[in-house]
Amino acid sequence: MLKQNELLEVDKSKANPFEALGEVLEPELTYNYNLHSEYIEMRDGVKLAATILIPKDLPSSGKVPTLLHQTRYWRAYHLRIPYRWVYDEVITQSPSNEIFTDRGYAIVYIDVRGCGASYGSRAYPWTEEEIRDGADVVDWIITQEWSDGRVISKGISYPGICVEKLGYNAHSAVKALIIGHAFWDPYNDVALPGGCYDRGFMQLWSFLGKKLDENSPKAFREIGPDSWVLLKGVKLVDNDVSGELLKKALIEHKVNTYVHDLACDKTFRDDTLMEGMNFDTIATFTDQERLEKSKVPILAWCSYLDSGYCDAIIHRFMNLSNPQIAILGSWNHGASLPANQFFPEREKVSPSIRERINSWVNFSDICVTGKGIEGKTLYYYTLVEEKWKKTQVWPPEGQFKQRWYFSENFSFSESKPEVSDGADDYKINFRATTGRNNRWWALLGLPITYAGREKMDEKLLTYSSQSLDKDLEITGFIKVSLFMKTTHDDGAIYAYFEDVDENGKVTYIADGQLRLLHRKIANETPPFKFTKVYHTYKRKDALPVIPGEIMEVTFSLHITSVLIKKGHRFRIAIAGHDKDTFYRYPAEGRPTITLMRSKDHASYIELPIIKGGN
Amino acid sequence: MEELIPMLRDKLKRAITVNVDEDKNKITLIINRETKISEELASPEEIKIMLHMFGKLEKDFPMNIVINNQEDIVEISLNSREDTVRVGNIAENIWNTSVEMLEQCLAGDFSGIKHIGNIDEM
Repeated sequence: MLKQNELLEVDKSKANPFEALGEVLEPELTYNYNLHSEYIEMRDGVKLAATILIPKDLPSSGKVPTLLHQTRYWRAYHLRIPYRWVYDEVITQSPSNEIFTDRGYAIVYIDVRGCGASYGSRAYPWTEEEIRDGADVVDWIITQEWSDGRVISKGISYPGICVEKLGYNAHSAVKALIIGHAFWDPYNDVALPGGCYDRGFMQLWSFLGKKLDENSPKAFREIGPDSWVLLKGVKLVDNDVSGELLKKALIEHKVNTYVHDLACDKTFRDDTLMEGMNFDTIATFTDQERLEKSKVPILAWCSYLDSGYCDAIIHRFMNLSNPQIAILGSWNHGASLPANQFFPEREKVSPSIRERINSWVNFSDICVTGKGIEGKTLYYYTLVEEKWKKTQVWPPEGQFKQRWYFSENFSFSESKPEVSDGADDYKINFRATTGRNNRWWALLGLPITYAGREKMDEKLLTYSSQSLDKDLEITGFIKVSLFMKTTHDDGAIYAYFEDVDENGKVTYIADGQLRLLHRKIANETPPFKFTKVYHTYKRKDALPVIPGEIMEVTFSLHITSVLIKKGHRFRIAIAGHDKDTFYRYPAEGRPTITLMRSKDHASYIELPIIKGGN
Repeated sequence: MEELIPMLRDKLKRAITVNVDEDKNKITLIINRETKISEELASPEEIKIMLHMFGKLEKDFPMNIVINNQEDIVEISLNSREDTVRVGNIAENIWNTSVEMLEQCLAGDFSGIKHIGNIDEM
């Protein structure tokens, strides 16, 4: 049952967010809810399919708060047999269903417009119509006899972004938002990180979306065979016995468009994707004021190795004034699997799924009936040290920057080079790859592994430090600044930051990328607070790449927090391509780049250090 | 989802009762559905797909399937004792093979689904 306790609050003495948010209860996985589905009519007449779970054990008032979950991945499933004989249509959300209903919440699952069994169409994800639907659904919820007038929303990935955008409506009934693995800046966090088109994800995600909108499970056979084995389609609403209503909805989906078709030939942030729309149209920072106006408390969580969404946690934390708990851990997209590359043998994710879901319920209780939350706290996990930490500010207090210069014999030096002619050539190896279990493919829910870096590094240009004489904690955005030239008129740089142990074992930590034409460091004020190197990625700031001309190429890697142990070395491995994920720059030819490491052109990396260093 | 897999095997074993009558070339599946949902128990096509997916039975294997939605019973009539024994064995092990396939896929091993043809348009 819902905890009716106005003293419920976050335990500020704990650095582990899952302990700070309260106890973990262990309800039995039984059907402790009644389930039905129906269509809900929006303001413009479009009908959205909804599946509603009401706790069997209602309080004496008969009224409960509601968890809203909006998705484009089918709100409920028509399972294959024999699974359908023993499990219901929302089984893939277990044990979240059982835990939330056991704790006194109703749950409403929605197919967003143009998707699943819902009517309507979508020009692109998270249109203003889709965002306003969220408010219409909340209006519907609070008029139901079982509703106590309070709504929270939770989701991961697409549904997580729906949660954040529900906040734009500033609906007074919405009491808490739980945003899992969501972007802040879609251009940089997912579509074109560093200006490099993420073909792997964008193409496959669009294919998946199209198949889902056709009610075909085929895409799952390629992307998630476990899902394909389990399910055969979206669940019809209860009164659609003949399936005719779904057929009509699917006809309306036929005019949907998909992001790969819109973005695959685009280069710049301000390129028009369709009339009146570019990448920033759906960026969270664009609508920051709307979200802040809601003042709704936010719990946002993500992982270091999840695409560029890891950076979104920092940007959301830095920029939004809403009361906020932000969590940055070490797991895959959605936290079903561990992803700590230093411990590949680990099979169980930490926190466990139950611990995590219980924490979200506890957060909801605190916001719905408890003291609420005040201010902002970021909980982050330091790899290798294997310890949770927390901060109220970003960057964390005590952080300082230390430069290490690229030096002779593929090493790093703390001293600026004094030679006038230091340089290394590297012919780009276009077979270089981080594979299909990297941070970008991870958005499809795949396991994350950067195994075999020793071998891959042989294809790359690598520089390693000496063995460290003390532990070094790096927390923040590592900066890479290269003076370089290339033989061709286009190109990209991928930089991997790695740990090398006493036995030569290489462990990936973080990476970053930049297409060379975007290398201009902007003087203008960024559209949001920012501690990374700022490139606008706008057409006006494009700098042509002139073969043979020395360029300064500076960019930040994705966020990390790691302890490099005494006796280990750190390494930067430089590539010109990541073939299984990104477009090839240039499309043809095999450039040779020259990395300068001279007194006039001193390339360096800048480490954000919390402790250690010199 | 993962934590439900161990329970799934037991649930299916309890839910599916298979009677094989080799003399009459008839197999009866009696389904004890825990969650009585408003939709039909299964269509004959779904039964064929289930036997194909989890038992590698040819998709066009000759049989006649009658579904009794009121009683939650599936009756499969076959042409020979040999066919009856083969399909009976598959049906009797569905509770296990269907979970094995799911487990394998969840572990990232997709070899178990290679034999499955185009079932999404059947």
